[in-house]
Amino acid sequence: MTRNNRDTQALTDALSAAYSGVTLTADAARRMAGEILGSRAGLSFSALWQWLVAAAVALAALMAPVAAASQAVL
Amino acid sequence: MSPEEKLTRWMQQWGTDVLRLCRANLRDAQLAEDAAQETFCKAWRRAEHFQPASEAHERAWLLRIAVNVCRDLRRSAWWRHEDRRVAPEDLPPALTAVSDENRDLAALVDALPEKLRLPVLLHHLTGLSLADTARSLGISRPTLNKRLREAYRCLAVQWQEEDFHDAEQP
Repeated sequence: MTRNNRDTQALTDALSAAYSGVTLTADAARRMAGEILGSRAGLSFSALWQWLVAAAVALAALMAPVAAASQAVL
Repeated sequence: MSPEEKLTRWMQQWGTDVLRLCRANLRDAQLAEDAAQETFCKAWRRAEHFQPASEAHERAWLLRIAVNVCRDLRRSAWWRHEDRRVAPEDLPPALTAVSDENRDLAALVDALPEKLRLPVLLHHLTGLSLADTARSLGISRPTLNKRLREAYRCLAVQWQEEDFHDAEQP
């Protein structure tokens, strides 16, 4: 570094100034926190989804003989 | 303090530090937000098991997670095909007036190879101590010192070249 930026403090000042416009706004923080905390609900939703799939498979198995019987009648 | 309360406090206290590091590291505003969120998400999942000795220790821990999140993102296949170098005018708009000199210097830092850029960002942008910077990068203090010296040398050479080109222009 030449000119006025000869020491490392100048580097700190330059980077701090250049990125001073980057801030985590309260809105962005709330949104992030909501999504992160909501991921717990995602886990229970996943469990519910697995339960629904299992129930659908069981129902299909139950209905198979009925469907076969009605096919035979027709 | 519950993990939820910790998450809120982390975001209030160090959200901007984490976001700035991600932005400077990834050079993309949207990706930086995603990386910051992933950082807090990972920290929140580990919150119950993490007992920091001090606030500085906690901050350094969060920044270390951010470094790793950014590293994982950069390792993804699509990342390598993108040219993410930025010109001084592409740096984020600053809240305060930034001299051309400072913007040029920040852009030169941005152009450093990752091995040299990360130590500079962690130490000079986030203000981490040398010990915490070395810990965050998983390198020894002598290695950190060597990389910082190399970074300063590269910046000095490039700065002089810029001076030369400026002087050449009519």
